[in-house]
Amino acid sequence: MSSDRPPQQSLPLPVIIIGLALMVAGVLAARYVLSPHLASSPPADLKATYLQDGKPITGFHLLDYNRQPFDASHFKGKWTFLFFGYTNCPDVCPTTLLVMKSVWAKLPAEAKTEPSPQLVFVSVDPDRDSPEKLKKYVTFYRPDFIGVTGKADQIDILTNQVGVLYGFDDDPDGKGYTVKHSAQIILVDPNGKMRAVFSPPHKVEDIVHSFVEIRNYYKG
Amino acid sequence: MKYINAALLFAGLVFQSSLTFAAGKVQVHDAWIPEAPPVAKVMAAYMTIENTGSKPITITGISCDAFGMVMMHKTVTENGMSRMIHLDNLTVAPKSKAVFKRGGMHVMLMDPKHSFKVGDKVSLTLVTADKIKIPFTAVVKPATLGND
Repeated sequence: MSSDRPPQQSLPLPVIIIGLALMVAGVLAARYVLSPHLASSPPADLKATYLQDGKPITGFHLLDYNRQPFDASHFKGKWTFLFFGYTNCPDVCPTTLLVMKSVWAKLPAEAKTEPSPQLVFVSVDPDRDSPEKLKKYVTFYRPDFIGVTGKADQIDILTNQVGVLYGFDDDPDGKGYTVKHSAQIILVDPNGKMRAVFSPPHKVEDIVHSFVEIRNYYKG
Repeated sequence: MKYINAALLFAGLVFQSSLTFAAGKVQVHDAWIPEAPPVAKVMAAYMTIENTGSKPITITGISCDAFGMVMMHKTVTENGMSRMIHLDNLTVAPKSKAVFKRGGMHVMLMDPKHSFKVGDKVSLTLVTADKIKIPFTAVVKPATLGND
């Protein structure tokens, strides 16, 4: 009994080899192209704590030094470096602002393209730091640095979300209190999520390097 | 009476020479003040205090007529939290130095009586536990990281 089915023909060996080679090449190419998206861990040499999933920051309402509202919407489309302090701070705040001024000077051009970075100094001492005073203080370091402050409860909404602590020391003589405060620099991504924490002591080169790495990694 | 006068004179000379001795053994190097924003009510001074003598010397205060209040402070950063500790006094061991620098010990200068610009020279005075006064001059320098 004869079959109607055409006789089966096996593929020539060279075709099979070429096909397999193309499949392997395709898989390798896909892995190469997609790897940044699939990478499960950030660059190993970061001098910062990276938050893989990010942490949304919401619900605070402050004023910038031009007395314009500053809220979470101002994080959108920018990389934001947040630092918390006060203008009567003799050592830590001026030094950190100088470090960030140097970071700005040393950032490679591609790290300043959109989404560009912004530095926001948050005064936790609104009783002494009016927006006007804050403006003169912050822009002394760089004209494009931003200063914000506001009511204590609004400042607390922000500090609580980013894990920053602060407190006022006793002032028994009435000569002026000092403020203890976290000295971390918080990096917020262009989608408004807390993305990394730089811990003191702050070094210019470490921040520049880590920011560039984080930007590239986040961008994929 | 003659003996009493002589004794007093001798005691005075000894006291005077001990003051001179101690003062000569403390030197202040590289004192500087970073230029600050014009609205800053607080500034800082940094320097190195060197004790070239053979006995410890205790600094109990620093004064400066150009500021309303002057204190020795130390920035302490623990678990990412920075705070300032007021130093009532500071003992500098023999043949050693106490370095005041950013992120560590600093002279906190509060309530400036006038504004300062780069190049200004500010007179300050160290006071020791023996009430010896050691004057020194700090120079106002640009607020850049390279001036430490």
